[in-house]
Amino acid sequence: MLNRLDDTALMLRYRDDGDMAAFEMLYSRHRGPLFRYLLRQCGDAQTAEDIFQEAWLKVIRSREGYRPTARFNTYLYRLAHNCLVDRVRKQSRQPGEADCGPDDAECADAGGRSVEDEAAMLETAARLRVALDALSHEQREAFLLHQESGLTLDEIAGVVGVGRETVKSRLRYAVNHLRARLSAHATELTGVAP
Amino acid sequence: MNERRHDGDFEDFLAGRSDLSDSYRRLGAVEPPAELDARILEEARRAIRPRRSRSWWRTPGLALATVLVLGLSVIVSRQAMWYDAIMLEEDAATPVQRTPVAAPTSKGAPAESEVPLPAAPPGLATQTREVTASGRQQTGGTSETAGAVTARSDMAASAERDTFRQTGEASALSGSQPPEAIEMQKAEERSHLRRAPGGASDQPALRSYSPTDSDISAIPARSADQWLTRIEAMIEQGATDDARKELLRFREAYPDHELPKDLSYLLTDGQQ
Repeated sequence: MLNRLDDTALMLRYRDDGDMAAFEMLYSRHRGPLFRYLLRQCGDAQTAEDIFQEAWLKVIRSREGYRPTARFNTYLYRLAHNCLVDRVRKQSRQPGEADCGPDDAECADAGGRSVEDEAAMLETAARLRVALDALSHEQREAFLLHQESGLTLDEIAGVVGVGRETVKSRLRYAVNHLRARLSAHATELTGVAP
Repeated sequence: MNERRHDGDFEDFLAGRSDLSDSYRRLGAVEPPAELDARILEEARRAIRPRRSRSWWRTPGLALATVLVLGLSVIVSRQAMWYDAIMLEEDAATPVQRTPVAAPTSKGAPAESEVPLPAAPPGLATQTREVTASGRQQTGGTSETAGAVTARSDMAASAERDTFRQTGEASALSGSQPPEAIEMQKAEERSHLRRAPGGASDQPALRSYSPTDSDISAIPARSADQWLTRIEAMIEQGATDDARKELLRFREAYPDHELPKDLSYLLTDGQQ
């Protein structure tokens, strides 16, 4: 029953009826993507957890002020983005401390693949993480929001507070940069340019 | 050419079909720790708990508040009724003043001309005393009693206007107006006529007005002391006979009241 409801309907049920099951459904839908966005954006697991909790607490405590004018996705990621910006202002990012542990563990759980394939994928993932870290904050944000939240360009523009074309430009630059880094890695492995 | 290929790749990326998206997905599904989930869900649960309890208490709370308000209003209205009842009892306990206005037509029917008057409110007596005192202070010396009586009678006349108006209205309903009320109205009208040329202010009219004997006798006394003061005023104005008659009436109304020495001689003179 709750599975069929969209995010906005679930949030309204929680807000108006105090329906805890609706909130649990909503939370289960967004907990992973939001956490990954924060983790890969700030590069520190503890900071990501703090911001994650802060964002969800804002959702809970300001539920009376929630208005379904936009998708819940946009609302949630805007809250998280604002928390993140506040945090980044307070402390500078520490590059190289990215989500190494959990990702490696997840990546290791790939049954049915050869050891060589497994090693190549881990290597690619590691390269991608490094390439992501090399992006500017804004480009990485645009890329992660697109990948994790499933927001459109317009919605990402609304979350970060810039124009659609700006987001598109940042995203294009991020894609080209990541592609270039991964291609260079493939060339190193195979000796053939893609 | 190269740029066009990049555009195509970017469009594929936006559509989620690029190898870059696949590579990103292979980074793994990192998730928040279970303790963090538990904390957030508990907070969400706690946030809706007060709302439920608040809505549960809303109805009894409103009912309680309504009962309190109604109870308070009932208590206040009852107190007002008790106060009115006490005031009525006090009025009934006050000695009834009988003021003769017209001579009885026959010996056996004095009640027609002697109608018991309602007692003045306590505030009026205080006000009258204050005016008397101030009149004495202002006039002083020889004319202090006359001033006091002037002020007192005028105040009493104006204050009793309402009382008699009510009595008059009540009598009008029953078809006859008490003679005292008629007399009172006449005295009041006379008082207004005298005041009119004096100006708009009441204060000068109070000082310049000196009552006649009929005015004094027309104004019912409110207490024994006030009655005696009025009799003294009569004596000072030389109306000794009227004062004696008034004193006899006073004696009838207050047989146990001790008379002042300067008045008691009137009774002995009358007997001699």
